[in-house]
Amino acid sequence: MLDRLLKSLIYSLAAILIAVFFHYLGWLSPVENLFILLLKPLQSGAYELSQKTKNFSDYWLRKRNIIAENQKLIEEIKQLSLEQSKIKSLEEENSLLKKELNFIDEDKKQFVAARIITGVSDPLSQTVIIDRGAKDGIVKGLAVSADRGVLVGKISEVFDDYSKVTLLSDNKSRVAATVQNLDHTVGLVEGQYGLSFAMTNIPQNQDIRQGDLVVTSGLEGQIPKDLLIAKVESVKTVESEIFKTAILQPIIPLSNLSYVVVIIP
Amino acid sequence: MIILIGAVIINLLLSGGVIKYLAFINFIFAALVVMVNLRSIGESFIFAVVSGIILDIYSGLPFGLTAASLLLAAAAMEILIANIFSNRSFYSLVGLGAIGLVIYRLIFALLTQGLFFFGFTDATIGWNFWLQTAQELILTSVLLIVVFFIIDRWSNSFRPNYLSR
Repeated sequence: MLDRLLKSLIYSLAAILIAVFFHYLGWLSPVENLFILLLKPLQSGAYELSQKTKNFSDYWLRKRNIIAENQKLIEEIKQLSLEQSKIKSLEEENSLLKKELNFIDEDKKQFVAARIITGVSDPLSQTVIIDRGAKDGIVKGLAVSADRGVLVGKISEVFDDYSKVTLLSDNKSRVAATVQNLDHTVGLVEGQYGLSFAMTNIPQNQDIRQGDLVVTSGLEGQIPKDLLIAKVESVKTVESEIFKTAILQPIIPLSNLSYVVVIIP
Repeated sequence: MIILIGAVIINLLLSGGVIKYLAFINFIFAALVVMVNLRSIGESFIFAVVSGIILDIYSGLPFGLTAASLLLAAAAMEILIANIFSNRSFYSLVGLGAIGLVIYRLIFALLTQGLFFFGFTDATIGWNFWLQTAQELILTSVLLIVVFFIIDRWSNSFRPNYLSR
């Protein structure tokens, strides 16, 4: 029996090795693409249902806090309206000055809207699959945002019709970022075991405060500058270390995404 | 083949998290335990390899990791069923499933840490993983209990067993 088991095990391991080899050569890509294509209707339906269920239970759990939250939001809207009017006049002034200086408009980004089909099958990754792929001009490393301004992840693998997006909270995720403070602190936003994310490599002399906004620095070729990433929640400082770490709070919960936008620079 | 397709589809659909705890039920592993109990070594190994590769398509980890973990867990279960859990009873099925799942997750963790050590992945095993494994173990065992009673009701595959005596 052991002999038969060993023989079958060796053959099966060889089959897996061949599949791995073919996968990394890209020869399995059409099969993988076809498989996702076949399961897409079922999966996107289940994913949408899961989002609806989540929103419904969230609503009932948070019902008590909604009135207080509503008051707070009304105050915030007033504040934001004031800021928006200031920004509008600054924008107008900026475009006028640009015209006078004969500036070339550099903002030629393309946006590809995509729907999330499903999450991933393993417990260690924070990855989702979207219904846009190489045929839509998607390549590895592009920024993925919720709406057009909040970064949620990066493209990590591309098939013909589908792509995998590694979310910011994934352990593999690294994004060059800047804090919108007086020092314009530069650092690296890294995923923290799928639970949250943090900004690392911040020199000790930089002044970072709770509530500061963190945006993309534009130092990575494929990721545009000034995409909003998160808000600083707290700062961890150990005096004996060269760098400090800022724990970040996401602008939008990454588990509630249904639609995203891929930004092609 | 029907079990394979059914288990894969259910597992992938539930991994999206329709209800949070359903995502912790490992349908593919439960199906593998049944295969190891009822079918030949070759058939259960083919099941482990094919379902593992399908799960790898949807995984964010290095390709082949899930397939290799499932296959090695299936091999360990074949050894266990030949030497310890040989009577196909209710306790055998659930015990084999629980021990098999722990072995599967241990192999998965070892391979992940190995790949991390050699720089093939940035994913590492933390407490969260073991917490999820504990939930997966409880819920998958419950599923195996249900599966046992369904099979026991409609076929003779698990007889003789303690409960039907």
